[in-house]
Amino acid sequence: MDMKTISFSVNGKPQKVHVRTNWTLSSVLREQLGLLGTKIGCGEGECGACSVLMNGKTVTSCLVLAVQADGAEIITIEGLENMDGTLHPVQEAFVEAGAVQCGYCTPGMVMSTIALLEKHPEPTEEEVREGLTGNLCRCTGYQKIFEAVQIASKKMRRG
Amino acid sequence: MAMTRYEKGDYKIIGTKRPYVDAKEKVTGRTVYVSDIHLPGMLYGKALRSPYPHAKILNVDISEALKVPGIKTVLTGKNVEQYKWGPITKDEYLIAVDKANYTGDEVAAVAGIDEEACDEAISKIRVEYEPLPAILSMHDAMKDGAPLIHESAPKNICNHFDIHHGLDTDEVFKNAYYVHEGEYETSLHYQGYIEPMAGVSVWDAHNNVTMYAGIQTPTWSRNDYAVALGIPVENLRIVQPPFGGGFGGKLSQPVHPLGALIAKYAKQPVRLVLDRVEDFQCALPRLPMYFKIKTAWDKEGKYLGKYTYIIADQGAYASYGASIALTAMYRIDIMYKCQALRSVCDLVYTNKVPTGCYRGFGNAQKHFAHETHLDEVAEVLNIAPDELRLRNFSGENYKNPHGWNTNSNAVSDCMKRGLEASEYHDKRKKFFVVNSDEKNHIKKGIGFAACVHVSGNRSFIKPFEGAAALLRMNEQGKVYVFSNEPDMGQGIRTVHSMCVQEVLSISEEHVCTTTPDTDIVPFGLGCFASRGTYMSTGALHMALNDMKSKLIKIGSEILGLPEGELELENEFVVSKTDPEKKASYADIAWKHVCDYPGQHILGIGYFTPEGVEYPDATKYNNISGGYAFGCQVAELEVNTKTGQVKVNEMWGIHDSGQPINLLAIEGQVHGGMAQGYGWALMENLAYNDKGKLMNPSFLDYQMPTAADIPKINAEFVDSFEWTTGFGAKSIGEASLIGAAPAIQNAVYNAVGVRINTMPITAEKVLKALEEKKRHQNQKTSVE
Repeated sequence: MDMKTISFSVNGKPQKVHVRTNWTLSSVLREQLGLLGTKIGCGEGECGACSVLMNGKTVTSCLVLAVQADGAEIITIEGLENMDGTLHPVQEAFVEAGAVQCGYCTPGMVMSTIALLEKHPEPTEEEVREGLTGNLCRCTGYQKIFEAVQIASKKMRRG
Repeated sequence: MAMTRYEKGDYKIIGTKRPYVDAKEKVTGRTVYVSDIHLPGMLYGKALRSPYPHAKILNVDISEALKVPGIKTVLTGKNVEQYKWGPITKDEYLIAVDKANYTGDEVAAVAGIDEEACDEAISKIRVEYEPLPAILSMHDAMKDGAPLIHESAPKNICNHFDIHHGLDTDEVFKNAYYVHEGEYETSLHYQGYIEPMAGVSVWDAHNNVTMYAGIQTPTWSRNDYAVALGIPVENLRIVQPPFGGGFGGKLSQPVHPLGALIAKYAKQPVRLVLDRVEDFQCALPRLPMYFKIKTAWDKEGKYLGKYTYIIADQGAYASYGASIALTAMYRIDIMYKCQALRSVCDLVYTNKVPTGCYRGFGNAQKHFAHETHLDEVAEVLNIAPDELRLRNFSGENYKNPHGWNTNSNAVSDCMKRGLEASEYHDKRKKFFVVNSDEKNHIKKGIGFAACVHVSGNRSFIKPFEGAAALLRMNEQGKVYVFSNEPDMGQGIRTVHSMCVQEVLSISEEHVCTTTPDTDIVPFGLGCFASRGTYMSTGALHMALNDMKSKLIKIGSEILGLPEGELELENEFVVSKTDPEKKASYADIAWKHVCDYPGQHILGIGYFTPEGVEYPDATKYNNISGGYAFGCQVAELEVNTKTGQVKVNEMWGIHDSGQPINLLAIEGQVHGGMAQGYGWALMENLAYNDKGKLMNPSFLDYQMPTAADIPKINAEFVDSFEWTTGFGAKSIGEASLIGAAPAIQNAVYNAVGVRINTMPITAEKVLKALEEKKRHQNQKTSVE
């Protein structure tokens, strides 16, 4: 298999990795860079557990080839916390609302929520549902996730 | 002997909403799940699976696979030492030896340096099969001339049960005012946890095995896995890291021991994680069941007798099928005061995925059938569905013909509150008017189901029932909790932490709830049968009192005050009369390790539910100390042009005893009802006539998404289960089992058709509506 060197930014830090051309972004994040917060639930882009932000948009990183991320800016769940350990408002809201049970879908769900609130800072119920439809959760029945999105929206608008 | 009766305390923490203790780790991506574990020298494992539902394995040629670079070992059923195993019936090899019994059955396995090498090796294994006729429906399993799946099970019947308690059912049917019969069938429902089945195993030179596994029953499953691997139980250590959901699917199952077997021959640690297609193909989904229910009634709606016949489909291997079938046969009999009960069941093998435990454990299937049946009866007797149930509900201290007895029981309150919260009666009237307008093709309906489940099932495991808890206060005064009841997302670690905070008056930061490691935690059974909270908090209650008395005793020595004058407050032992006189936990803990060199203060507790005994040969004896009740309601609309059912809102009102963490228990109701909703309307593992699973992906097997899930309201009625220290009963399974029959009853309310074969799809509804119309037209033309 061909190898290629790619350079990209992950959570604001420059990274240079040597990858096989058939490796996915999720496998490079997890196996080369040790960013295990990005989860694999299906490997087929259907569950959304591997969602990350690529140039500001959510992608299912199990479907993106690592070489496609050459030159891109990637944000993963590990890139949300501040240096002093304070959480991103979306992370805080998920904790407070009880929107996390087993937590395996959580990193992807949090990333999709960030993208959703970027697009709709004050989302309607329909916008929340639509924004999270690519992320499966089997534990919560989504109820407390919906709650968390609204809490996060308020937190972020308060600044 | 008088039973211990615990009283409700004046709680400050128990019953409030607390964020989960592990949520911060999870939202930051720091939690290491089983499939994230990477050990030094670790290889990857992968299985080759049968493409046929039923086939003789004539030859397995591994020569080319062994040549693949990076491949350490290639295993077949014949080049390894393995033993037939199974949690109840030992009918399965980790790698099939002579015959594959379902599409997905393991026929070979490899270990290699990465997944790509494994995939390549798998593709180079040549298997010569002789396909055999397959049984793809449980209705065909017992037919004359059906192929035999297991030599040990003539007519493919693994178990035949016949349970009869109370009055003679034949007599009761003969003399009843009304006898109602109905047939119902449930579908193949997949657990759908987001982290697939996974394990990482290390096999050392002395045949000691360490297994990091996503497992609900770490200690108990060692017994099963040790059998499969042919090692003494004590050689197997299971460490249970956080894992991505279980819902019953992650009790004893083949992935963990298969990974260990591969590690044994690879002589290196091995990680075996199923890909999603494999997980769909060979995890242990809910047993499909066919029910024929016949019930007897008097004119006033008194429930006189019940006869149930069940065919239960356990697929290719037995797993927990027998216990699940038994649950379907009689669990619901503790909710209604029916005095003549007979249940007959054939548990059969088919050439489909082995089925097993899934939240509800046979009881979900029975609730779909029975709670549908009761609404049918109510209509015939012209008694409102709630009134019919009210006339027959068991109450507190009710002993049923199987010898089971309730303690706390607020089922009537649940139904009353459920109907009130959902405005059931008003809506039934309103919808009747709206639906009468023939021009309106959107018909509205509301329906409900009552539900009951256990808090621990004594008939599951013979040697004992109960739980232990071990508390250790370290030299800084921090408390560690050791329990055998794992957290799989339901939040039991938070429940334990809250109990410790409540009794010891200690901050959350100073309580560490550990995850089970069988080398460390007390012996125990784990989280299944909705037993976790009821059992483990019972044990914790005793352990906390033990630790509390020790703290007071040492505090009394330090302060020179009598023990009776002391209490615990904010991590101090304090004088009740003079708050200035106090000794900190840190000082007390340090004094203890100095006085008894190195020894920490321990709190030891254990719990046995009183009045619970293992069932005798006739399946008589009380199986649970805490029957948990509920009422679930669904409001929906049916489009009569398309048959589509759209659920608008659901309510789950439960008697779970004393809620410990209100936040988590609400989350349980939401999640359980969401799964019940999916099961009712959309989920079903579908096989084609070649025995191949047609929808092994999240795209084709549709689970509820954020887009379609209705609003779900969770509420708890006032209740306290007096047999356990903190009064908590269960919720995990009770939360799922009412949703599907509630939806079924609401569909009937909307359009007057019942889809007694799950799932209730638009196609089936439309067909039923057309049939109904044809029937009405015929009637009109005859008139």
